[in-house]
Amino acid sequence: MKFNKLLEELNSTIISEEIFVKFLYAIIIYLSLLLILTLTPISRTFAFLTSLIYFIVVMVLEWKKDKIEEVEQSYPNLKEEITTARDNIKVNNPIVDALKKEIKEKVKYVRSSTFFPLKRVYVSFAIIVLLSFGIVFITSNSITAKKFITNDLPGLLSFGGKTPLNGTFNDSYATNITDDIYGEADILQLGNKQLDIRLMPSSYEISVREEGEFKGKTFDNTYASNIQTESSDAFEENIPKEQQDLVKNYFLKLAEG
Amino acid sequence: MKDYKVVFETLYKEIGKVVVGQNEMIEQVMIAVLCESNALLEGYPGLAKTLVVKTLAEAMDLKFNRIQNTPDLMPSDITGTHIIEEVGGKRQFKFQPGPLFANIVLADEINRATPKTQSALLESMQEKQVTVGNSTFKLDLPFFVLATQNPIEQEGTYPLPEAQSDRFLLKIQAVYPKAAEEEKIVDIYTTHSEKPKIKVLLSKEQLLHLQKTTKQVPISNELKRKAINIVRSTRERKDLIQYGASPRASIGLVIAAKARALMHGRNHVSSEDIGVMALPVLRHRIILNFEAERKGMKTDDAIIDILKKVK
Repeated sequence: MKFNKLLEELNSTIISEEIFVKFLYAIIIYLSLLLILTLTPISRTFAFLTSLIYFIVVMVLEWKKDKIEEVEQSYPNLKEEITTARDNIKVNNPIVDALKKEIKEKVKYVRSSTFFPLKRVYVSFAIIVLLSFGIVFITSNSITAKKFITNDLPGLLSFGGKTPLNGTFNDSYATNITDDIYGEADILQLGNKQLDIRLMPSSYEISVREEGEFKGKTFDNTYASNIQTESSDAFEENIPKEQQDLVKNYFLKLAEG
Repeated sequence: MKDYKVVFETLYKEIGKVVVGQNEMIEQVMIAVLCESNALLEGYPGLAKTLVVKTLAEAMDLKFNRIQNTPDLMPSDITGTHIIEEVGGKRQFKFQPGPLFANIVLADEINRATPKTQSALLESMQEKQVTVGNSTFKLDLPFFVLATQNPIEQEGTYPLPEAQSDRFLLKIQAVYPKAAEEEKIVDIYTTHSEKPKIKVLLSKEQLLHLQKTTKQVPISNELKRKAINIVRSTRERKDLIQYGASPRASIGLVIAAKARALMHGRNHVSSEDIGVMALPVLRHRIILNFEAERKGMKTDDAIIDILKKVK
């Protein structure tokens, strides 16, 4: 392998590692914006576009960078050799050739994992997980910025106001809730029966359970008075009596054969 | 590259049979030889200055001559002169080469020679040729002059002008040996009746090849700039230095660093090479100002200060 090819390969390896980290950063930006936008009525496409633009810009900038300097910094014993060889890349004499050969040998032992920013990757993954939990929590609890302002938050997030946990169904669900995912209050009062409707956050299945005592239904016996039966001869064939045996035998033979 | 290192290590070992210690001096003399240049050796008497050069010449199968400079030494005494020779009953002029016609010339106590003789010597150093009358004679290559200076007894001497000392690539300082080394020196020269024999390790052709290889040692642009910045700083640091080093010092610093790299078996110049060679390359090329001298600074102190500041 030629020396400049070797440098290019080393450079691209380190760049791809750096781009991976930048990709994680783009995900963090996306999730962070998504988290914020979930609380607001602004379109969530904005989060995707912003992170996409960030990733493209960063990728272009990273690709332009010279990562061999990073190798030189990580391996100070190689710094002077690589720098010298790069500066004398067009020089051909036995000493320079020997230098290039020596670098090739040493670079074999340069592990690309040395340049992998493991710490940054761990931190990024941790942030991504936290943000994901945050988004799931917000969406499952229908938390919005408006609810924050009006202190109309469910469960533990409320700040002393009435909530389904500390209020009754009738004075919270049935009367106060107007525009949340439970819909209009009058739908809950269909047939004047108390309903317990729950949205399962994990499965999105709706469990509808009637509450209250069972009331038997009585049906009216309103049968018609002049009911009569009549046989239908629509399917009878008009076969002459003398030929009926012949037809019968024909079908019997068919059945036998 | 390791082969070159082995060559020089063997050479040191061979010289070490005769010269004890003085490793730095031997290395720097060898660097000057590899750079096809000359060196100024400063040190007190009895520090094996002559012995080092003579032994080196023996180990490299080179012709060695020594010139003891005195105030009455004339240029023709060192360059050679035309003498009348009788051939077949006819008298004719024949050029009789002087001690400069050698590969390694030791000009002992150069500051005792008159400026006229010094100039004749410096011409040969620079041009690798000798001019006598209307005739110019090319000197045999490799040609290397090692001039010594005695830092004491300065009375009645003709110190080298700055412009002329600039022509020496290095100013090497001979230092006193360590106690253990001195003990070994005493043992060698008081026990053995015969001087140890030196093997010829390098031929003239091999030395010329090494000189050619020295120039091929690559240096990074960063280090080249560093070397230049060091030399330029000697001109810019007016708080310490009255007269700084010339661009010849930049050339000298880079080539000396290359030679050192080769001797250490490296196929590239390192920052260490520049740092180590800055002292012998610059110490005779700068003149401290009054303020620095008043503070008791030496030229080496000023160079070290510059080295610390130049990145």
